[in-house]
Amino acid sequence: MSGQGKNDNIKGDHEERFLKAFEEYSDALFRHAFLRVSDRERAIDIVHDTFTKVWTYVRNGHEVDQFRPFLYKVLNNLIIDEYRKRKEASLDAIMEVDGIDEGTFDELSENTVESLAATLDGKKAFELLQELPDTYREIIVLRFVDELGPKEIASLTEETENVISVRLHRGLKLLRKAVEEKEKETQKKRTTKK
Amino acid sequence: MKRFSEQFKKKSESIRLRATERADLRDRLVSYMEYHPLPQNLRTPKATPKKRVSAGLASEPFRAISIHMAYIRGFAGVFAIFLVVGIPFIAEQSVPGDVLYPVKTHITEEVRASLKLSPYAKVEWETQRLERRVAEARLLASEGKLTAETEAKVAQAVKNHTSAAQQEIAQIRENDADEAAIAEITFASALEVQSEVLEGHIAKIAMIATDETESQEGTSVRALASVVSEVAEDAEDAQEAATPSYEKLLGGIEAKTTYAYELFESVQSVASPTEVADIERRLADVERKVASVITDNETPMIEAVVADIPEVIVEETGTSSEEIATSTSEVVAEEVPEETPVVVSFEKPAEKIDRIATLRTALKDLQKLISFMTQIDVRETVTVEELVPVTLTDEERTTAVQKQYAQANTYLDTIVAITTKSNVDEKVTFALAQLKDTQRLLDAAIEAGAVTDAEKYAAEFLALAEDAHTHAVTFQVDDSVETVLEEVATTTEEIIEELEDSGLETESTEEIR
Repeated sequence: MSGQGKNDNIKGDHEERFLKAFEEYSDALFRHAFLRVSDRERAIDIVHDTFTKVWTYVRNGHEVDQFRPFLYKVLNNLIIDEYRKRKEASLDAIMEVDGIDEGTFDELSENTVESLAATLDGKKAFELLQELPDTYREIIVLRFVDELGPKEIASLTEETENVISVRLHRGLKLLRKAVEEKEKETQKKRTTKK
Repeated sequence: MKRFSEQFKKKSESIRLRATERADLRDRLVSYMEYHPLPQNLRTPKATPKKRVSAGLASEPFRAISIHMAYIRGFAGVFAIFLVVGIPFIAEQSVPGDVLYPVKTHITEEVRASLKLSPYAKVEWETQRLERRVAEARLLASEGKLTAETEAKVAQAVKNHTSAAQQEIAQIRENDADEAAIAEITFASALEVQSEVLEGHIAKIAMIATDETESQEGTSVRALASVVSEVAEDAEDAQEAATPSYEKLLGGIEAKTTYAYELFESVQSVASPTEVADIERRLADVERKVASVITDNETPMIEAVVADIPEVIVEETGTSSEEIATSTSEVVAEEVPEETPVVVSFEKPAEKIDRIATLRTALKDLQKLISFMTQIDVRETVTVEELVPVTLTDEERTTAVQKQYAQANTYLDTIVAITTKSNVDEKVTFALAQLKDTQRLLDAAIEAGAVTDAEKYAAEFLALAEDAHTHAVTFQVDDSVETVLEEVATTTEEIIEELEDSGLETESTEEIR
């Protein structure tokens, strides 16, 4: 079987669909992974693993209707695995922070998220994304980079929509804080220079 | 929010796989897929029917061939262009009975007809269509494929085109009688050419068919020829009835002359040297005719202006004066032989009629020449001489007259010799007297330089002399049998030769008229 030509494999319907999904989503998946793990090589590996896992899933006779959410799900699991491998302690800490409260009414409203986001400078916020804990970073990346809806994010992360809203809200608040601090620092640097 | 998310997204888009990374990743993935291929039962449900088709099962009634839309559109475009351009182009070559023949006659030609704006152009086009029909019929006939049915159809088409042309001419006449007359002349001469061509064709066929008494089924164009000649005669009559004005006629001739010379230029490289010479001669003839008419016209006009102003008005009032002219020309024709000095006021319209007649023949000759030059099939069957006989110049005519004169004189001498030798018949003496009279007239004509008169008298003189000579010789033979017998024999031989010569001469002079 392995002796078969490359083209024979790619010709088939399943193979075609699978490779098409690769062409379509590899960039977005890589971007997501990179923003989460901050390591180019690792990110590529994770994307690769994501696709091989999905391929194995297809090989086992499962039909995949929509590749995109499925790919994100696998990717997300792999990233979590990656975190587990790297820093188990911090993950626990994050888990602790999470789920303590369901959040205030403020935090649950999508409108407040919007008004909060409106006060932020997108460029600066993006640069400071790496300083956020992964729980918030994940949601922000899924929301603003991968442009998934709250529902999709909820099903992907296996959390309730409320939790997602709260995390998004808090994440943005943290980001704003980080941006403000950064500005203060630069101002300080300027004044000390003077 | 929008601004934030936009900026955020934009910034994030700077993170992407490099082309090499991407290709590398893909390769890794593909090789992974190769080493971990799908199990047999999952193998590409879509590929399976494809394989079946390529295996070519005998029972497969249909085969799905996917054609790209762009190909279909492209093909449709090409096909449309072919319909519009290609088919009429191919149809041009068709003959009656072909599939595409109706396309030629009913679409291409009708479209071209509708593109002709002026009625004059329409007449020309109808003429051309008629010529095409005749040419097609001849082509079929030469291949032996002309059935009686097709011939009838072609004849009908010829009639249709003629009536169409005549309708157009009638339309022209409503606005411009002169123009209509010119159109009629042109049309008549074109028809005449076609008639000649068909007769030439029949003659050719007859020559070939004399040895073998095969039936002329499929080759005869007799029925068509009779139709065409009938139509041609009608047109000729109509043409004679219409009288264009001098100026218009001259204008028409000028236009045709330019066209004829252009054609001549282009034909020169193709035609044989004799043909070129022949055509050149005919063109020169036409020009001479026109020139003579113009010089004739100018002098009396000036005289008229100087002499009498009302006369000019009479001359220029067009049709009414011309109507008078037809009657006066008859009068003049009767008067001329008696050499009575014709009254000046009578002579002018008569001369005008003559001039118009000359111009008319000139225009006809031109038209025939143009037909001759433009249509190859015409050139193949008819010679120029048959269409447009040579018009002799005055000098040529004079020399011809002198030749006849000399010929007749030799006869006269013989007759005189005979009469002196023996008694002659009363008839001979009478003829002799008449001969002398004619000779006197002839001399006078030659002296006066009246070529036409001279020609007439010369012909008369020669004919008389011949008659008298034969009569005298036979009489002489009866009279003295033995002694002169041998002598006579030699002379008769000479006479026969002379007769043959003179016979040719008289023919040519007749044609000139």
